[in-house]
Amino acid sequence: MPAFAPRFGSKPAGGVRDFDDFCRTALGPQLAELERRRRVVLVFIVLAGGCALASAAFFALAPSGPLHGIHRLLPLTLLGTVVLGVVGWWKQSGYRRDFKQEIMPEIVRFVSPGVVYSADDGVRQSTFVAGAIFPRGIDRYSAEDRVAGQIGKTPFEFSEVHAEYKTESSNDEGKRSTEWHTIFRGLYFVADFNKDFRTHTVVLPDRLERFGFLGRALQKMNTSRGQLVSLEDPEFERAFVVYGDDQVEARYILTPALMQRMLALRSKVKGPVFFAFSGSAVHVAIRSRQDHFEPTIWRSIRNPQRLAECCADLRLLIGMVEDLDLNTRIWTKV
Amino acid sequence: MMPYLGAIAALAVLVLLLYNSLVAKRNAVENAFATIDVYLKKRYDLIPGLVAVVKGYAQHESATLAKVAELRTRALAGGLTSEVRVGLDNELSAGLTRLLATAEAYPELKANEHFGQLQRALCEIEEQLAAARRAFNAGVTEYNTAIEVFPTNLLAGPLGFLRRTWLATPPAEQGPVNVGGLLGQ
Repeated sequence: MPAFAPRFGSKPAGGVRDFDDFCRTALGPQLAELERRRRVVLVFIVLAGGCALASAAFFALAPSGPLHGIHRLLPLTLLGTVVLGVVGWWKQSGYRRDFKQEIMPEIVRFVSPGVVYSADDGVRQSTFVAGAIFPRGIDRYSAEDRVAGQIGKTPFEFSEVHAEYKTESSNDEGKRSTEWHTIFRGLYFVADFNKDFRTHTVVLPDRLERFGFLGRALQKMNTSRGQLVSLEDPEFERAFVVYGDDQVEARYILTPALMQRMLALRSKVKGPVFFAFSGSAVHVAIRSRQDHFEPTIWRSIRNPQRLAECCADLRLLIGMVEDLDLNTRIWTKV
Repeated sequence: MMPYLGAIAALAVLVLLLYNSLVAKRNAVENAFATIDVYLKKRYDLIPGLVAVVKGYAQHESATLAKVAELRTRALAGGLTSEVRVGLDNELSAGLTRLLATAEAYPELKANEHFGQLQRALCEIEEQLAAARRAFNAGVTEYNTAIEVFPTNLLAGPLGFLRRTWLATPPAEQGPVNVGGLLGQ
């Protein structure tokens, strides 16, 4: 795990022992089988690495001219690298796929019965675009690990999302090259909001507030996102900057209570978190470089910490419905 | 000569920009106040329906009903100063809160579907009103700051930009809110 990756709570919010018991009992046989396959993958990786090292050594130390002696093994080690590498990669893909198909749905069901996990689906690009948190045009979009369901009266979905744009350039010889740049990579959450509204409001991490009035002047100049909405909560203002099409509707959405809940959520996530209120839904984007629901080949699948982290991330994301109090429906929207 | 003319032109542009920014801020305050009016009007529209429903079940609340109806009539009559209008609306808020709370004592009223819809609509309008008041206060803060800080204060006084006062939270909204009670949950 990269050091800069934000963690979403190192432990599940509650029921750690329950989750350990669940892993041991309900998932025990599947985890044992997956652990055996993980070791097989590791063997292939080690053997392929060994062959690659041997090939490099033979190549570096081989005398000029035809190969002789032990150096005649070079083609064999090269072939071994390729074959073992390909088989290892294939086995790793199968291991990863089966983890997602057999283990992840069970963990999701454990965290919240009735919520559905699907490995290959994700939040749709049109939904991501509708949030307009990241207005830059998208050239490549991928999403996986979709979790969707309904908590109380609130339907929701989230998944890992990677949105990119490309730039093209050509060198002096006219050779064109394409570079891909990340617009957003992380977790994207969308849920039905408990009030009806017509306009668009975005809440972004505030990087300019520390520069005082100068920062605010710069924020005001950014008219591409609508009007700057100044709110009364100083803590919220330090953490976020709000832009909206309508000053009153932005405040109708961002009540003092919701602002406090958003701050609490931000402190739980420990990473840049963005919100948008659009089309009667709330969108939450959590920037992260980590694959949250992927098994690692380098650590035992039966390591309780890894699965507990996965469970904690799911709890945090599914818990956002309650954290943002989306089930309180005392307004005309029911 | 040219440098002087340039300096005078730059000063004139600066004065123009500062004046325009003051006007824009004053208009934003007026606009926010007008928005409050829109939501107050929406609230007035709901009152006859609410009074009619409550009257059907809670005859003992006739004093509150009459008070709410009278406050609405006075507010709609027009010709009131801002202060009187704000005071009247605060009284109306308190009266409506009392009216909604009466449902606790009348189970049949609490169960009435139309009453439930009116409760929700009023709850939404109250929240929109609160948002409009907050928008107004934010506009007033920005406007008041602008007329007090240098260099806009040099223009504000002579050109008649006067300080505006914030809207206070209605007394009925200052205490803890029992939402469950209001909605009969």
